[in-house]
Amino acid sequence: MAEAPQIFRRIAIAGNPNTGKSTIFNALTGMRQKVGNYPGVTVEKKTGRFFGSHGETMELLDLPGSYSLQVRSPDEAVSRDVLLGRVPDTPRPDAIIAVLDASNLDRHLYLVAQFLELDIPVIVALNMVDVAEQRGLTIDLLALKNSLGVPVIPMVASRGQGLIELKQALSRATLHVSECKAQLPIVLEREVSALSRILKCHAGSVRSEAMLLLSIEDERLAAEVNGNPSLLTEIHAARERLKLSGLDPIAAPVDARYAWVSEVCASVIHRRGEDSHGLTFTDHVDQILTHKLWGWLAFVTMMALMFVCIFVVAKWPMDWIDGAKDWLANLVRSHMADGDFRSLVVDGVIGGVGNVVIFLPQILILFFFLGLLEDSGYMARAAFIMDRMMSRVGLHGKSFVPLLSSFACAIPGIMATRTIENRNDRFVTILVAPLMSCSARLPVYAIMIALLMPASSVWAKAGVMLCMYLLGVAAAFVMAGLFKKTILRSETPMLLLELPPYRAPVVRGIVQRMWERAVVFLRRAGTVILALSVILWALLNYPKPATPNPTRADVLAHSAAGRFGHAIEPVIAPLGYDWKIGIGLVASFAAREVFVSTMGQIYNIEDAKADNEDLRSRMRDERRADGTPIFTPLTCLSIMVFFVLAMQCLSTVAIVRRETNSWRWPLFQIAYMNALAWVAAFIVYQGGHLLGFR
Amino acid sequence: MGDDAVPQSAAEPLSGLQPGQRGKVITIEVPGSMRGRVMEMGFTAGTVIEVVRFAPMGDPIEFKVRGAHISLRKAEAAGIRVQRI
Amino acid sequence: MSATTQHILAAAAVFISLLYLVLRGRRKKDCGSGCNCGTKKPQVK
Repeated sequence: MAEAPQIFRRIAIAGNPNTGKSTIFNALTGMRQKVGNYPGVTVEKKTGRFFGSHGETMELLDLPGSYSLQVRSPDEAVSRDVLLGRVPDTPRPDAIIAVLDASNLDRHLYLVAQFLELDIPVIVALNMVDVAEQRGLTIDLLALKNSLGVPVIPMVASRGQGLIELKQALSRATLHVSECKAQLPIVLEREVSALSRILKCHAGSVRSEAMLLLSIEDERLAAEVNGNPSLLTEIHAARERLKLSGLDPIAAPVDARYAWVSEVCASVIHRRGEDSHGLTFTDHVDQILTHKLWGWLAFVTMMALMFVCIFVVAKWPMDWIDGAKDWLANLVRSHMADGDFRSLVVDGVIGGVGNVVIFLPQILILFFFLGLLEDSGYMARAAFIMDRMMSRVGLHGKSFVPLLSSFACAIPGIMATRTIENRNDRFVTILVAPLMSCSARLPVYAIMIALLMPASSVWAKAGVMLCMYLLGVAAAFVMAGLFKKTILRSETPMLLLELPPYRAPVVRGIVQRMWERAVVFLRRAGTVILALSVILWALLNYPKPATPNPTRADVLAHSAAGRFGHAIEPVIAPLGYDWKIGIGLVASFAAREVFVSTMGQIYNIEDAKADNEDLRSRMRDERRADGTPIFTPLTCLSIMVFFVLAMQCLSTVAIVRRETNSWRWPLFQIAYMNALAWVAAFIVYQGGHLLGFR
Repeated sequence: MGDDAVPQSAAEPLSGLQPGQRGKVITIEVPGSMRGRVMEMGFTAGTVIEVVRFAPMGDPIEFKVRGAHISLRKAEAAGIRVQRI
Repeated sequence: MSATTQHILAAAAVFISLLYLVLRGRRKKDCGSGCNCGTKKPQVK
């Protein structure tokens, strides 16, 4: 391996959301990127390398977008912690590139004011100067540079303008810490200095740390200084002194920074023409997209289009993956003698991993659309439109996207909850996300509907399918409301949502993110999911029956999972299931659609798929001991309802464990969802019986 | 409230304004842990805020603050008191 | 490959998978304050 090059400078790139940070990051680093995770939290860490003007190696760290160092979400916390040098294996950066939207300096300079408090050299990348120009704003670059005391590089990152200048600025032999800062009221300055003196700092700026601690809301303070009562008393005393002298500890620093921002803006921005009262492009678009009637129409159309793409377009690559899976399995079968290991490779590894990887096309298409909606600025409008509905159950407009994504797969849905600021709201969303019918349930619904109503029209079948989806949505809303009132009680989450200007999305950036997603997903499939599949395979195959040459059905019945299926028969009998269905339920913990292939194995059908006529007729003929059919319409309905509500996906359990950082929540989720599923299936089956249905 | 806040007869809740109307912020009394963030997004005393529109279902409300478009729910906007201009 | 070899290989694979999952669960870093946050918190001198 080549020797690691000496890193000349570590630079963090930071700024508000939607400023083009990632575009600059991608333009500078190209393909030399590494995506990982920060230890202990589930925020993605993106680093990349590039070469400075004289060939020196620079390391660039893409920080999550944030509005302030006074953090409100896990993403923002990472940005702050990196800049303060608090993250264990991430050294404090040597410089910050602050990316600003030139057309909205009034707001974006606020974060710069905080960066200047950090005592790290700052370089301002003034992005989207073209948009500012179009809006009739002229920015006096020299005056801006002088008032900030840092280099200012005008850029149009989406077209690569200003990149060379930015590189040059970053390559300078020395970068200076700016002397310019927002002036604090004297009383506050005194308290900040006093607190700075008693703080022990890791590597970061003590002053900035002290300011953050002084001006945090009481609700958050305890978590910030946990395990440190003396510091807590110290801060409370300082705040009392501030209040006595008539200063609001929360408002004072904000007011001071904004006063400074206004002063800077007044001297550097020159407006041409009327005072920006003309309607912008965004205003015109929003008149339609947030309109009482057209807004809904546009929203429904976009969501429908997205789902048509997910289910129709993804079908081809999914068929290819399925074909590749079968081809590989057959290849192994033809080259290896029959035995345990072959079974493990074919059923456990190829089947297990393949059944998860097959969802990759859907996940990628979903991420492509979410990327388009996010980058164009529409996502914020969707949250704006949906917020009223979501707030009825105490959720946030931002919970809408994760729930929507969960229709494709709960995994990206749960990952998308990271933008929700409040922990309790985020956890409620995570808890109910798997109730949305993901695409793995489709094959199960398909075969059950085929058994339920073989002669009905396509429309009637689609209607039943839609009812299942609606049942999931209704359950998610009811449970969310319930959790908000009980275990995850919190103040109704505040909606504080920026509606950014519409912009043409950079498709290259979106594709790059899809690629990263794919890598992360495949890595998981190749590690955790592989291991889980192997273990599940063992449970489905051992112990072996003593009889020579047992059939697949015998092996299944005799295995640990089979015995478990038998053991739970008394529990599931009231739902109308026998032990064979029980085995199918146990096996579907690998991935729900495995239910179909497991039923195939139980009934000794080769190559069982939902559209397999052999399997359907075999299931239709299946009888109980008393000669009545097992798969009556009522049983089929009961099974479907069970699948709508039950938590049966190991991959989701694993991701919930990771996102909530504890086993408590995934276990609780399994318990409540399966209890809910059981009760609902019980009501369907027994209630149906009472009403005279069979 | 009623402590040493300046009694402003002209003050009214921001949620009471109609689209197109503007007001200058006097006090911010948003409850709980997001109060500071509301200020950091630009809702500081003395700032002029314009109501842009209501969401299709009447809530939340979109505001123009310091050149950015920010939306808040009615309940929260009611805690921000403004002087209509 | 004989049935016994296959049996042993399968057992080894299952064992490695279990070991991997267990070790993965243990590999974790935190700030030492027991909060599991992954970051260091401000401290008094």
